[in-house]
Amino acid sequence: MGDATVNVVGRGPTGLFAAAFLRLRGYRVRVISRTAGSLALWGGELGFGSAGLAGSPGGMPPEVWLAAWSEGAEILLRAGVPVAETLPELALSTVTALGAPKPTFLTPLWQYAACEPEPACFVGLGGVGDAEPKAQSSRYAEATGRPSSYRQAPPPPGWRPGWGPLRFAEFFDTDLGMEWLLSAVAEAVGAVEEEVVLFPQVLGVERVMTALGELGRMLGRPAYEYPLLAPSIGGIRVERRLVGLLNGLGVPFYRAGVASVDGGGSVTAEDGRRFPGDATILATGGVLGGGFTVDLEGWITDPVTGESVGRVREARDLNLAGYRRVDLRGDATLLAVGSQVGGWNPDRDHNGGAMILGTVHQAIAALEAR
Amino acid sequence: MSTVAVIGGGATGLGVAWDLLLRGVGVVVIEKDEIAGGTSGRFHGLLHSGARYAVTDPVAARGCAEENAILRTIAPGAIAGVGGVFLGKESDSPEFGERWLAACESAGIAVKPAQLAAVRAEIPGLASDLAAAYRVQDAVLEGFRLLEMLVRAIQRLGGEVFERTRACGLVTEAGEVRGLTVESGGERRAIGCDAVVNAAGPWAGEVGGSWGGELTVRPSRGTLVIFANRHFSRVVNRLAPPGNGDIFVPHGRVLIFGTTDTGQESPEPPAPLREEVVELIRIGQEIFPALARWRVIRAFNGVRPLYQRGEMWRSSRELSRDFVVFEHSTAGGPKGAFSVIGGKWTTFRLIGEKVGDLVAGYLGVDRPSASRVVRIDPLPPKPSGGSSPIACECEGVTSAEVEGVDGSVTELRLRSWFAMGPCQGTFCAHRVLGMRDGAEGELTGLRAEREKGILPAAWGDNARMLSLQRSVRFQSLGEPWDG
Ligand SMILES: Cc1cc2nc3c(=O)[nH]c(=O)nc-3n(C[C@H](O)[C@H](O)[C@H](O)COP(=O)(O)OP(=O)(O)OC[C@H]3O[C@@H](n4cnc5c(N)ncnc54)[C@H](O)[C@@H]3O)c2cc1C
Ligand SMILES: Cc1cc2nc3c(=O)[nH]c(=O)nc-3n(C[C@H](O)[C@H](O)[C@H](O)COP(=O)(O)OP(=O)(O)OC[C@H]3O[C@@H](n4cnc5c(N)ncnc54)[C@H](O)[C@@H]3O)c2cc1C
Repeated sequence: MGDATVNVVGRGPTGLFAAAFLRLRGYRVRVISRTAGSLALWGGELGFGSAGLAGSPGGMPPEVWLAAWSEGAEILLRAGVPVAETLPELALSTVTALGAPKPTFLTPLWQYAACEPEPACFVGLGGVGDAEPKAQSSRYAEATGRPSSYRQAPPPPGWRPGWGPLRFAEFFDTDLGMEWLLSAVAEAVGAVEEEVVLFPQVLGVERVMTALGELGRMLGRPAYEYPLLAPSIGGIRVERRLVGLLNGLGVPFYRAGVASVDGGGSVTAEDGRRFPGDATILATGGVLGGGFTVDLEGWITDPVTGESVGRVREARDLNLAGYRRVDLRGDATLLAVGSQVGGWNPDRDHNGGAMILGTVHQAIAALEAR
Repeated sequence: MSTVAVIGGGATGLGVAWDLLLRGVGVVVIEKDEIAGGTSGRFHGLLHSGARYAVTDPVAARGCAEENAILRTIAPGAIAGVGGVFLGKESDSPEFGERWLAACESAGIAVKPAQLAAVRAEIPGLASDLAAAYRVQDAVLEGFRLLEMLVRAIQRLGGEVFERTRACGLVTEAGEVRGLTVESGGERRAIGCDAVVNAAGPWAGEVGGSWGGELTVRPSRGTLVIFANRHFSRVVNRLAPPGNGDIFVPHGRVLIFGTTDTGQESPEPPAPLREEVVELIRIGQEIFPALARWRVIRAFNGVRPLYQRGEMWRSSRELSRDFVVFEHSTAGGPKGAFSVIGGKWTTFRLIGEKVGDLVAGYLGVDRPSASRVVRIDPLPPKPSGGSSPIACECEGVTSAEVEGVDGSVTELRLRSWFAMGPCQGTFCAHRVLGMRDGAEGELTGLRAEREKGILPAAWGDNARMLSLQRSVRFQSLGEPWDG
């Protein structure tokens, strides 16, 4: 059904990936969403659990997984998100805002990720709230057993308390910001003994790779970023680039809350607009994204389909609730992907990226079989 | 000079200590956790006008009315005189309203009828079927602040306050109290004193149970809900016999709503239950129909120290149905041992005065109480953060403020107010604790403590916030999963 029209509801990472996968296969795609999704809340590094390609969650054969991941990486590259040309064999290790190692898989090259954590120097920037390089480097050294040191650079000219990560990133996208980074910051870092130098993830939304390249040359070792919390510049970069790719491919975006999906796969919005289509993909996120609502008694329900998917008793139930299947009607007119599908546990297993790609792949398989 | 050891760093203990100090008696306050660690830090924040108790407990009502006026003059730094309203519904029986008006009048409580239209203009979101509105002198009592003001005032007059120090037992000689053994940091020591006052709130039974006489405290927990916005600037009461979910108190930037009344064995506040919170919301919807959609920050509870009339009852002084003071020697215990149980935050000074009378009499000190007239100095203004980066965005706490506090995480949280706003530490806890040694353990502890209050209100956007908090914890920060 390659020339069919598919409504993708939601523009979080799942919706954006689903739209790109489908468009590149020739489908006509439209993206409908109420708000932005969760990308600005996380670094955009796609996790696969600690199992790597060997374990295949979701019961998918390893070769299917490999194809899904390769295609995901291709989409990122096409969108202008730098990722490695070849997939890693095993889960990589990145580093959190606390300085602790954390498994990851497909990771934009601006962010530090390696098979084995290396000796690292953490750089703090004055005024960046999450950058506590002293605490980060001591935690890193303790957790990885690798030597680590830290440097503290001053706040940039014109800085005021209350500058958030986005304000820093905007500053580093200017010539003035880049100049200051390559002079004052590089000077504050000075000579480094460790293998890599890690900067807080605020080095521009657009010009980050140039900044890191220059810094690396000046410091004589590779420079990367470590992720901070929200708003996450890494996620914002991925989001902007994926939206840009889809715009370039002629995918229209609509801002609307979806009220229902009819039997044929067409969408009716809360304001009465209708979006005809042959199938609809619900990439509406879980409880966080608004794809499920929770009532006073704790029942978790999908407001679009009206289906109940669980009940909150413990806090963990919130992120675990979901549909047990992707093809909700069995005829590929209504498909649930991403956090809508239960049985994945990104909180415990760090497999958020696998959940996104795995469910999108299953949805596409159902559409293709139609 | 005589010295009195006061057990309990809540409103009652500090009120007793302050009153005695003003009579020239030396005091040592012993608190097992932090100041405000008990019920006095877990209350509704209402400086009662007295109107609520006019029908059911006229003595307490009158006490509240008088203390309300006194506290406004002696501690204006901790009181926001927002005023309150009592609202009746069309479905309520008018009979109670009439009894209430008469009772307020005879207790000397100022009540003024109000135009419903004017009240609606001040308080958005009210139900359409209201029938009656009255204005009273309710105010907001900043409990944490007043306790800190009291501690400073007590220390300025030479009183001592020991936190993280637990009272263990009396030291007696020839049937008279001579000291108190205390334990802190694993070390035991004795503090010499001429009398001991047990003001341990819900723990008073544990503390004074063996001092002679039967001292039974019946702990009763009350659950409260904190809404993320200050929806209006009046205290809103239901015009009905005191019951569950009948008071809304605007507090700083938030609104606190409650409460419930459930007996329990333990003096410790448990995790608030979802049923209790949902029940509150259902009752509150009668006044504010959209209540279930108001964003909740968290629920919490406190434990009331209600006393049970036991054998000691006969020898106690019944001052109202509200609080009692025991002199243990009247039941065969040592001389110089006193216990005080019950009361309200609003009447803490009055309790202090009454206990002060009794204790001063025992010590032969004849200076009368002065706590009714002596002002308690306000806190100095919070220093501006200068160029220090913001560590907690919700509450505008700077890194410098956080670094300025040493002590436990709870103390850090209560002093700086970090992690207390709408995000409940989602975006700041790791940052603030990351500046400290032993951060991992502290972070896990703080997460569990915050989640306890968020979970029972996890519906609508509150549920989304909790989902986000968990994603940040486990996915972004890699904290160990707790399932
Ligand atoms: C803090 C955080 C950290 C994370 N860290 C990682 C990580 O390290 N590695 C990793 O792989 N993954 C990570 N994730 C990703 C996570 O595991 C999920 O994969 C991801 O959040 C789910 O994205 P989604 O696109 O399914 O939903 P969302 O991003 O929540 O998007 C939902 C979209 O649906 C829209 N929507 C909802 N209902 C409607 C409606 N009725 N009508 C119209 N639109 C609607 C919303 O407006 C939104 O656009 C993280 C997520 C968070 C929040
Ligand atoms: C839910 C709720 C809402 C309320 N709302 C209001 C209101 O709006 N207005 C109002 O006026 N009143 C209100 N009250 C009542 C008021 O909060 C209490 O009456 C008052 O705080 C009791 O203070 P306290 O000092 O007696 O007890 P606490 O504050 O509990 O103090 C006792 C202290 O003793 C310490 N302690 C215990 N054992 C030991 C030991 N062995 N050694 C050393 N220290 C020890 C404890 O740690 C504690 O800090 C409310 C009560 C509840 C439960």
